[in-house]
Amino acid sequence: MVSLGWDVGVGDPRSVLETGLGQSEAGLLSRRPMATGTDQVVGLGLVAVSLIIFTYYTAWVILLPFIDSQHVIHKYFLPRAYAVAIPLAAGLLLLLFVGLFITYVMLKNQKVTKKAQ
Amino acid sequence: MTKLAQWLWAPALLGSAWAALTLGALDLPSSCREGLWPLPTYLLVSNGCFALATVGYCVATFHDCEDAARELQSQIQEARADLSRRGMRF
Repeated sequence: MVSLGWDVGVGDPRSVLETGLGQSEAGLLSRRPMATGTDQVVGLGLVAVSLIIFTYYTAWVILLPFIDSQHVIHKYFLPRAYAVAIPLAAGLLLLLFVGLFITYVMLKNQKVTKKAQ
Repeated sequence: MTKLAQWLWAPALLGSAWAALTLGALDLPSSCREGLWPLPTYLLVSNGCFALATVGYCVATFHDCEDAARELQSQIQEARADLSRRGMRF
């Protein structure tokens, strides 16, 4: 069998590590592989969104019952029934979308096999 | 005890404790009771937030090797050209 002539070399991880560790004077961060720009923005955006949701929901469910009902902060929160209804509705919507996606992919596969026959 | 048994026992225990307290087994002050009944939903939502934050953090700190990626892509192109020249269809 004739050798096809290329070989896959994905950048020896040991050499990447060595260049990273050996350049401590030159500034470590500039040599070590890092995430690309949009990846960092998207990732930190996800972290920020999850922190916002967590703090708002914690304040809603856990802190609000212990605050005097005449306080002004109650204006910023919906009635407590929504604290369960909104996540429940969101979960059901998620299940719906997952089911629709699976249906779509299965129908597309069936059509492909029918065309191939 | 198997893992499945553990995973069934712990939620059953916690769930029955929550149900008992919500339906009035102990005399809790009304503010405590107000904070208690949405607790399962609260745990689910905070678990989801934690998962989302972990995914976001890992995406933001992923170690990209752009040179290696470009080299790999060019090798893939080379391989496709070579194989299609020898008659393989993609």
